[in-house]
Amino acid sequence: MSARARTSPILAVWMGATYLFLYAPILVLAVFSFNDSRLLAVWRGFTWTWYKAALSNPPMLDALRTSLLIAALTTLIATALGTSAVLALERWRGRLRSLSETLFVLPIVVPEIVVGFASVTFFGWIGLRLGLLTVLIAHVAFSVSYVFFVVRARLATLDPRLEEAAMDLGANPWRVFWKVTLPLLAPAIAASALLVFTLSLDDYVITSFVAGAGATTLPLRIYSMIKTGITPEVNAISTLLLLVTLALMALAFRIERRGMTRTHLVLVGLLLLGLVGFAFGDSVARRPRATLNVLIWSNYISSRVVRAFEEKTGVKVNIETYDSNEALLAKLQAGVVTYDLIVPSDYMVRILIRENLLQPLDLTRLPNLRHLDPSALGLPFDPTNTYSLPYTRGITGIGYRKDKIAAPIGSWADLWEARWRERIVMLDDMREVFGAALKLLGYSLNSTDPEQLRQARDLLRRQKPLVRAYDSANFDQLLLSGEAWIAQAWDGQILKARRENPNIEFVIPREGTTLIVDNLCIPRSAERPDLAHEFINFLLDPTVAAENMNEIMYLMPNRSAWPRLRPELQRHPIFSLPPEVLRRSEYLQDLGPTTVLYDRYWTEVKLAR
Amino acid sequence: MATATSAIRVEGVTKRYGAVTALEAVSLEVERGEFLTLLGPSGSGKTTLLRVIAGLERPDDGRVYLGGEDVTDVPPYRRRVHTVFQQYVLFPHLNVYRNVAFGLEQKRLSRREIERRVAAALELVRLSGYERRWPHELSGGEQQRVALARALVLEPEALLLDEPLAALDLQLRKEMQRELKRLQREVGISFLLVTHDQEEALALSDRIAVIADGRLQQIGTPREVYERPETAFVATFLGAANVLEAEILHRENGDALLGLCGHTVRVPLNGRRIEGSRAQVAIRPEKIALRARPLRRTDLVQLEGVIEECLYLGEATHWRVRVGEHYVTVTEPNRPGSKADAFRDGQRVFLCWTRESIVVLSR
Repeated sequence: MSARARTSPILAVWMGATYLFLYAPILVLAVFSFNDSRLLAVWRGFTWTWYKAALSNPPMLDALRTSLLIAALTTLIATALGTSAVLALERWRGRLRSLSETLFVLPIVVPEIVVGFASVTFFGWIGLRLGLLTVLIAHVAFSVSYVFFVVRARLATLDPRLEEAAMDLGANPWRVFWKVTLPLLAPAIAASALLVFTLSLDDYVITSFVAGAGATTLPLRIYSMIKTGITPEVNAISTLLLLVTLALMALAFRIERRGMTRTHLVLVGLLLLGLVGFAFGDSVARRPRATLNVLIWSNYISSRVVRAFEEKTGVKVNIETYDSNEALLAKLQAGVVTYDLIVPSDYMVRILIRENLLQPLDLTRLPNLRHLDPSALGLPFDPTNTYSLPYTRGITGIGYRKDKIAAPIGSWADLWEARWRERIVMLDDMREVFGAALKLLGYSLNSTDPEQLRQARDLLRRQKPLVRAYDSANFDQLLLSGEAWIAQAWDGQILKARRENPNIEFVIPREGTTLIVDNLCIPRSAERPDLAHEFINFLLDPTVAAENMNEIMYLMPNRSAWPRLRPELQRHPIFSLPPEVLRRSEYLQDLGPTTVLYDRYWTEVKLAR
Repeated sequence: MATATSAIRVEGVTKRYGAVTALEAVSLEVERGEFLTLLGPSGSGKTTLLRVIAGLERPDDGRVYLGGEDVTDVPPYRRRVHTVFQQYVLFPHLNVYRNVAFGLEQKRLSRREIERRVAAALELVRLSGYERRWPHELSGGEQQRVALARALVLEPEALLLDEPLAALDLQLRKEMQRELKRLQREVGISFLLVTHDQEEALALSDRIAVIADGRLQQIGTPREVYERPETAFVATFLGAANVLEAEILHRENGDALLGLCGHTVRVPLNGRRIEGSRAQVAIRPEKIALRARPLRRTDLVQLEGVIEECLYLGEATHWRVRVGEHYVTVTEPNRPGSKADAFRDGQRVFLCWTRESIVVLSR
């Protein structure tokens, strides 16, 4: 082709815009991994802090290790399986051939959520305990199809006479496969291996269903951080992953272009060795006498506390995280996980008791019980503390920027203030949002009266034009960046944010609010209830509790530990809560059938203009 | 024929694909050092026969012998014949050297031996210095030479060539024809070539085997097959021929007395056996001369006809002449002083040919 088409400038701009659209988010992610601020959106200067933090964050590294291990094994198995399936089908002239090919499409088109649920049900049925193995099986299952189609597409373009030519020249079928078929398929196999590696590395939906003890992957870990706040550590880890992926792709591209040279072999070998070494390095280093599996919200326990327990007892504590009470319930109901300690919220404790998923605590083995504040014991969801002991207590309130808002804040009505239009943020949580409205109207936040609910709905609809966002994960970020001035908020995140900006204030509305207690419980299926008791007692020790609180910034009802708290926690509004406000505050309760009405009104509010 | 020494011998090979019969009881032999061409239209079964010999297809019936040894049940990778495929089928992931060395590597020869033989093979096809090139960098003719070297380097009992020149343009095809002939003489091994190009077959072959509908029609030297076609198919597929119906009036002393277009003609049978009372005869268009009036010679067959059509084709002129109910095609080269301009459509003419030009066809 001698004539070169002139590229129109419009086309060039269009192309540029397309690439920008594709890659700008990733670029921003990488840039902000060097940002000297906890904020995800405002540039404050360059730092390596987040890389250091990420690389010295044991749960994060564990998750990364798990992810890489699973991705590597998945890639190996799925690539081999998929390629052999292609070759087998190619030679099969049976009548069911096209049907079998169609069956390979299904895993791609069936919604992941269905595959995930089906897998967990299946594993439960055959009695396979959820863990690394189940994640691996599920990942292989969904990625074999991708290998199948990529490799088959390549095989379809291959001249079948190449194999005949090889045979004609004296190569037996085995040699034909290794010397001709495989080398010619290699680029497709390499490409599909990369695809599978990436898919496995970032799968969330299916993994969230089938992951069990010891199998928290990086995506699961990141999602679970939503409750306690995402930090740029995630950016740092993601950027590192991105670099690894890019390096792999560059390598695969070179192999495809130039063929497999000795240098490439050495590189691939080193890479694999590094991966395996990293993946297994930790488990080889430490040989614990026993393992205690803990399922908890992320950033909800101090890693120093965990290490202290491990050193004291020689037990390996395996920390797994989840992102919602409902996810926790689903895992326990599936009956295929064995966790020794879980931390459900108040209303979920009641559900777990009702579902017979918890075992009674042996209070005689918990002498440190005496340090607990009596006001946190005997709460309505477990009045006799047969199954649960309080771990942390939280409270919903209002976080605001006192440098932006001069007026005194102290009522839910302040979130309906027209002066702060577009600067108001509400939690993205049906019960919390309706709770605020119901309290403002003077009703119970567990109201099931349709008339009261209708009033609350109308109140929230009126508020809607003023609200900048409904956001449970980033309200602290929004306050820090100044995008929001006032937000419905949970205490822990606001206290953490205040460490960065003292202008952030937290108040509890005088109308009363939601009280939250997260509890230590032992599932009925626990394998080591003895260690779980030991660990609970350890966590209730005042010194340990203080250290734990000072790090996670959530308050524990441990009276003996309070004097050792850092000043910000000592000044926690919960301590100065007027008795009448406490009286007006409530724990969330299960609403039974009224939940449907809540759901409908919540949708109406969300859809309102 | 000394069957024990033939390079390839095929006996009664039959191959069916479902209801379609690709080969029907085909038997033939390729002598050591012989250049034999399988000529036939596409779908005639010639490539299938080649694949049966190579071992890439199993015959439903019949045997295949290579160098006197029955190889019918021997897999292709243990047969001492090698194939040059249509479009060459070079390994795209191997360079020229590795392509040519491929077969030698399967034999696990020493590296020095491989290097020596690859160099010799490339020299033979005049591609020395191309070792590090990749197949996609080569022209069609060069790829062809690599394919030849790749097969010849193994010193096979016979080389099978499946339409090796079909993908080349005319100019290159002529050149490669000469090249193939030279190679065959130089290495002295048997070549079995499949083609649908009659000119190629005539130019290259020691013998031609014409194949149609899975059956062997005739086998012989190019001259035999062209001059004395056995069947109407061979007569018309290899060159052009007028095939006419004739009545057998009498047989004596190896001659036949035929009733042809209302004339009685004595024709030599040349040992060909014919049965029944009717036969087909073939006359090549270039063996017929056109005259305005009959010649006074009794040794010629002379028929009267009317010119229906005249086609000027540069090197020759084609005439279509109606003789009674038959149409006869006549070709005359346009030599100086030829009669190409002398005849008009509708003109009465006389067709003249020698008795020896008439070939009585069997079947």
